[in-house]
Amino acid sequence: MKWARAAGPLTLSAGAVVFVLALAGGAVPLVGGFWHAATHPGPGRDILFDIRLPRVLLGGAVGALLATAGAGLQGLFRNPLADPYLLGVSGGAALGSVIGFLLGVAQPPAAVTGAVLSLSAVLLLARGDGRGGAPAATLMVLAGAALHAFTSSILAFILSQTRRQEGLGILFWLLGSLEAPSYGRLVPLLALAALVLGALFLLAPTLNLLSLGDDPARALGLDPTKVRWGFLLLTAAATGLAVTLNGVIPFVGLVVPHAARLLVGFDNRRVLPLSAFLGAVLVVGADLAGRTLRAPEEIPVGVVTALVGAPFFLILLRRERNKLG
Amino acid sequence: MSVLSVRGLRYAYPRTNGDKPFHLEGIDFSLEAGDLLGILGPNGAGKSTVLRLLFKALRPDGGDVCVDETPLDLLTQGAVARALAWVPQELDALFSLTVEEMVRLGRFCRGRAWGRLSAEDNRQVARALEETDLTPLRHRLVSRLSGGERRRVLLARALAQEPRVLLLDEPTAHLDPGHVAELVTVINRLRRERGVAVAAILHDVSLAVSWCPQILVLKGGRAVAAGPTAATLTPTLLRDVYGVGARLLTDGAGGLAVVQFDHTLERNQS
Repeated sequence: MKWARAAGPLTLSAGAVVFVLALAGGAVPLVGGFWHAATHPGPGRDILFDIRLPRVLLGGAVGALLATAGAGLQGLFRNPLADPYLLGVSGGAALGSVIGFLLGVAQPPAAVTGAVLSLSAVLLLARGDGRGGAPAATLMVLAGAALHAFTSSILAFILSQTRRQEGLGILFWLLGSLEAPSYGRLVPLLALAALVLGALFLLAPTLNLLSLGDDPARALGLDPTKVRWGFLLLTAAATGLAVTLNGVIPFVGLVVPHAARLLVGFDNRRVLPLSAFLGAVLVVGADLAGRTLRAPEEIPVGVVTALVGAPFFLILLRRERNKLG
Repeated sequence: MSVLSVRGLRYAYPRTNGDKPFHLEGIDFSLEAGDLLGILGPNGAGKSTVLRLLFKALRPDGGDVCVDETPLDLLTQGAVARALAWVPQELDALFSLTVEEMVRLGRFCRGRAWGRLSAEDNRQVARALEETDLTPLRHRLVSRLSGGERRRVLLARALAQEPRVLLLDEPTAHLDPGHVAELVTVINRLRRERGVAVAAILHDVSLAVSWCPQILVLKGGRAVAAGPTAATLTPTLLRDVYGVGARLLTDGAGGLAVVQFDHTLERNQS
């Protein structure tokens, strides 16, 4: 119990350290004169406010969106393997976003549409027993893999048909390079992200009931159909926004909710907000690692999270298999 | 005035490939405060389906279900949960809450913003834990409990709903005789002190005989018998329903009866 009480403040301060390091560290280290740089005009201050801060905000938003979407999908489908990336939702959002970009349509709605369509496709492919039961965990992941292969090949086709420079730009964005956007583009997207996250947090208590199954949820006074639609749309929107902001970052939505549950148990009223926070920490930290390990070269943040997430996924998969006997 | 009344309840499972179509029809019963109805019948008779129709997990194809004289159709899911509490056979503990967190979910239907619990909510949760003897286990993870303990968690969660009617689906399955006796005591106290009406699916026919004043017997989706237990449950009926010979033994004092099935008899074809 003592440990549990210390875990909260410890997590918060560890997260704060990561954020500060991400602001201070990089190709031009600001560690020594951090406060000086922040308070006095000059190149240090420009780097801090025009490059580092938007990048940290962007990474934080992306991590929070993906991790909360993952926590939502895991509870909704009673599936510990659910993750926007593994279910092919990120891939669908990326395809939608690229198509939107090439057609000159606004990217966020195109990405969200792609996410909604691919999530519906996975549900259709991995349909349950027809009595409202959730689809089997592994079947959903397989359907997601198939969908991901499909959207990836279409993306590869599109990339092969575009001019080299443009193609490279798209490719780097897809890998999740946290290139700092202007505040003018960033702020509206951050506001949208905050709205989607807020709505998901508000629905968190119903997720506790939904993750018991449809019949128990009804017996306890919740009609699952409407809330389920809400969760589907909101998790798809969260994924679509994250992809628009920063391409496809794998495994954040898988790893983070499990870590959050280790810290605070299984009550989604705590799991969802904590996932958002830890997701932000993870992506900002991965970006920090990506731009310091081989400075001045950068490793895309998606590559770093995949290195962390893939082994974790294999462990979870083994555990699922053991459960199936 | 009946707390729960069911008249001419009908339901057909949607036809899926390969499945035999299943029809449930002509189910009638009513419960008053404090009543206890035992629902008997072989596997696949439609007993669980009846319970699921009552709390709107399934939509009936016909018939009337009224809670406190109000048709089920007019009640929201939340209102249904405040009146009827369902205790399922299994607790699926994939994402594992603690015992106390699980029981608190029973207060959801009493509706506080964002699942915040009032003092009254906490009192009801504590009482439900106490009545099911779970207070010492309240911080344990549900996934770490034995089968019998999980059944008690499900009962506690149902009690936290403060229902007028309890719908129990084989409440004594996997319980040892000691825990069966405890369960019977808890349920009887609820009936006596709070006037809770109970409909319980039972496979233990002896228990039904000694415990339930009224029974409803289902077979193949139809009610084949209903009424006071002593007058309704005859060896002939048991043979018809379960397809195996049975004798009713009294304890000599005239009250208690025990049902002994003759498992060595060949299955009766009728």
